[in-house]
Amino acid sequence: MMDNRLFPVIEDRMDWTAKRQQMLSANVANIDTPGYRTKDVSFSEQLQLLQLNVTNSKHMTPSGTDPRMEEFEVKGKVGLNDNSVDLDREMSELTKNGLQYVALIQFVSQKLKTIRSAINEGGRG
Amino acid sequence: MSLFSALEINTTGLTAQRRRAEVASSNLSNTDTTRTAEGGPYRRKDVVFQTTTFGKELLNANVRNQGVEVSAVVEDTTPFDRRYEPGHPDADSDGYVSYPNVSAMEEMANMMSAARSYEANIGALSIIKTMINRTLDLGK
Repeated sequence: MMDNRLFPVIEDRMDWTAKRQQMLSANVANIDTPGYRTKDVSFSEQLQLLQLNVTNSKHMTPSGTDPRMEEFEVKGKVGLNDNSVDLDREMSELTKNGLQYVALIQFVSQKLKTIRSAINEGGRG
Repeated sequence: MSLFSALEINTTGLTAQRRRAEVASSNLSNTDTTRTAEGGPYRRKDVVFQTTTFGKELLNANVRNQGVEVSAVVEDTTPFDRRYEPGHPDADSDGYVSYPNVSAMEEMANMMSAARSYEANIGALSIIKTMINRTLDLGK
């Protein structure tokens, strides 16, 4: 029936997205700070979080490593004020990240609706 | 919730940029001030931005939320603008008056830059606000 194991995965992804928003916010806040370098985080280990059902030995298995976000410095032109923040990049990333978050919320919302519909015996809800 | 930390970070940006605009305003309004409480003409002031770390750790102990703050307001030590105005009450024995080392053009550019950066922070804030609002609507 309902595969609610997906919830923790989505929750986790939402948490990551919210944390990345902090990183991007910091970049915007420090747009005029001398010596500041643009920072971002990567989600390379994110996939390993998926708790997949292993029914065949040839299936990919989740390695279960610590899904730590990795911080990296974004390469960019350093301006006259010794600062590498590119406002256009930051605003576009902020918007993208925000939309990703909203998409995840939308997903959870739909999932909850399905569950509610099941509880209410379908049509009677 | 980490989204609230993001809000706080951008708020530090707003505060810092507002301070910068205030200082630029003060400079602009005193472009011709020849007398100050400290004596002598007005000296141009500038803000120093510095990153601040606050709140909980973000990724690990080494990476924390980074906001920004105005760590100091410093005086510009470039020489005053000396103009020959013998009739001026603040003229020295040679007839020269020292005017503030403020360039109105420079201050206007500074002011516009501060306003743009302020707007960028507002933009980020509104995106975060949408994210938080959508989270609150979950399950409705």
